[in-house]
Amino acid sequence: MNEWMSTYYLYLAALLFSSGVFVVITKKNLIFILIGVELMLNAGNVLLAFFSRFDSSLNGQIFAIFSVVLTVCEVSIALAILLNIYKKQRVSNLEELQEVGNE
Amino acid sequence: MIGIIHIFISVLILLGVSIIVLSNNIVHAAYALALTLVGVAGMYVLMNAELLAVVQILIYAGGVVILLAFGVMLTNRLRGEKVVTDSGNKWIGAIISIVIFLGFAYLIQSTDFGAGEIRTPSDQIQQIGIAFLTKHLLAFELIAFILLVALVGAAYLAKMSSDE
Amino acid sequence: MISFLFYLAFLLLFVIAAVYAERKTAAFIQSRLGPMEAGPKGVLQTIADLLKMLQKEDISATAVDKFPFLIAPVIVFSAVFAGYSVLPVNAGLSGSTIESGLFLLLAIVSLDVLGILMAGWASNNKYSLYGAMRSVAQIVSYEIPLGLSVLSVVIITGTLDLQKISFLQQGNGLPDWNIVQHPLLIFSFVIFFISGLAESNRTPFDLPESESELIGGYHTEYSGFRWGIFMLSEYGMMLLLSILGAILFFGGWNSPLPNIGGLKLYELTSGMVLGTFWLLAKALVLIFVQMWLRWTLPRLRVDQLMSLSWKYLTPISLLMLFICAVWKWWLMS
Repeated sequence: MNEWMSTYYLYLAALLFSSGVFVVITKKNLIFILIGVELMLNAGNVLLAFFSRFDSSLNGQIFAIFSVVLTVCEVSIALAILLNIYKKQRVSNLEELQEVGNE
Repeated sequence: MIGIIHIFISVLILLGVSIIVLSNNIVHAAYALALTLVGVAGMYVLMNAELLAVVQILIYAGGVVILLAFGVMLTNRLRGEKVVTDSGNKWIGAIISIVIFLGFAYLIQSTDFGAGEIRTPSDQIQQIGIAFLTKHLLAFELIAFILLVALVGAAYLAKMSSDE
Repeated sequence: MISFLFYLAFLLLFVIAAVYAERKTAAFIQSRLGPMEAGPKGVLQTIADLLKMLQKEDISATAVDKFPFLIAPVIVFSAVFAGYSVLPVNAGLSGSTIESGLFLLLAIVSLDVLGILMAGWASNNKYSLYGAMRSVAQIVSYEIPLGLSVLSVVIITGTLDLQKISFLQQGNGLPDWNIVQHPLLIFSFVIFFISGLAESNRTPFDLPESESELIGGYHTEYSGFRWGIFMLSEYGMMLLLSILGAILFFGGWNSPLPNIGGLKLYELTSGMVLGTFWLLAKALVLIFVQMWLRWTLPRLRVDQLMSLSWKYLTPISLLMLFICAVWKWWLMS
């Protein structure tokens, strides 16, 4: 199997992961940060799918499907929490966020 | 071995990722995320992972992106102006992400993956279905349960503040 | 590739005929005559409308979000039309023969909500946004009974490939159709049909584009050819679901005439061109039923629509899935 092809997919996963890190560090809006987390999770799934090609029992693909479902759970709960924060404080910007807690 | 399809899908993914990284408009970033996720699904098809590609389009591009877009629309006062955010720490972010990318690149270059032969079976979906119900049965049932709990919890959390 | 181009050509011709058919059906149900002026009995009316629409000015308000506003109709149409790539045309010409054909169709068709959301948001207009939100909520809610009723058929036939499903209904005409061989599928078909009506925003589920309430919903701000693309994708979705219903439940491209003894009617009425004719004829019957329903039933309110999907259709389709699985197990033992 061509050495170039394997590294091509792996570089793609590395690119997705590092841009996810950049988005999480740089942007200030909470939903934008969720988008960055999505990119990082996708990078992991690309790696899993790539290595399951060489496995006849397709374990990597199954694991990636589980990972997609768990991501959906995480995003829905994170958005529900964000909605709650917005209703209490009317801001969705990281810098203007006050203490969420004992109010 | 790099065909025209590979180049086309990588252009899609790069376009999506660059819009997310460079733009300050959240709604545009959500659309670009949909583009990126569809591109990654195309990558999965090229990697012989058919079921995962369809699941990715169905759940990620058709579900998670809609959730994020609704989240944007519900957490901003709709006054008709563009929904932008500001971004800080750009230099530190760039340095850290480039360092991470170079670390991965070094790992990839220095590993000898050997000559692997592609062993995906021809009736993939049946094999995955059977595996879900025999080998990974516990994980399958547990994830159904987790999904139920997460959705009920999210629905309750998003409703709670309207009762006070 | 050839089947894809065939369906593109067929869709464009079909829309021209379907608009005329819709107006005439509306007229006859309402005891009036409909278009009679342009051409004999009004057959050139759609051509006249098409010419008018093509030369209208492409207005876009100044405060819209330029790029998403222009791209949104294209995304809706592409998502709907990409679903045609897995449909077979006749016994020799099948669509894309990937293993997960039906699943891919459902996944790609669910991407049209992105285009609708883009159109609503980029229009910078409160009513467009309300229409877009309602439409997205409706489409996403009715995808679940649609997928589950299709899954009942898949459990019984055991394959996701539409060409193989058509081959399994071959042999003897009408008694070999899925809905006659496995009569439980009648309930699945009803759920499939109702969800399909809701997916293409047709009455009684056309709240997002109801002219009396929201002016136009998410396509208020569009004019000329871009509005035409939205209408094209609505008719495209109707046709896609009708063809899918014909393949899954009513035998696909197989002829309905059985072989009676020595009179081999089934063999006589099969072939390449005749197979295509049977498939499209069955789909057109379903489309006529959709148009008939449009002018007979009143529109559902948005909370009735949501409760219909979540409280009635989803539990019933889950129950049907279970019953079809038991039926298949009983058939196999």
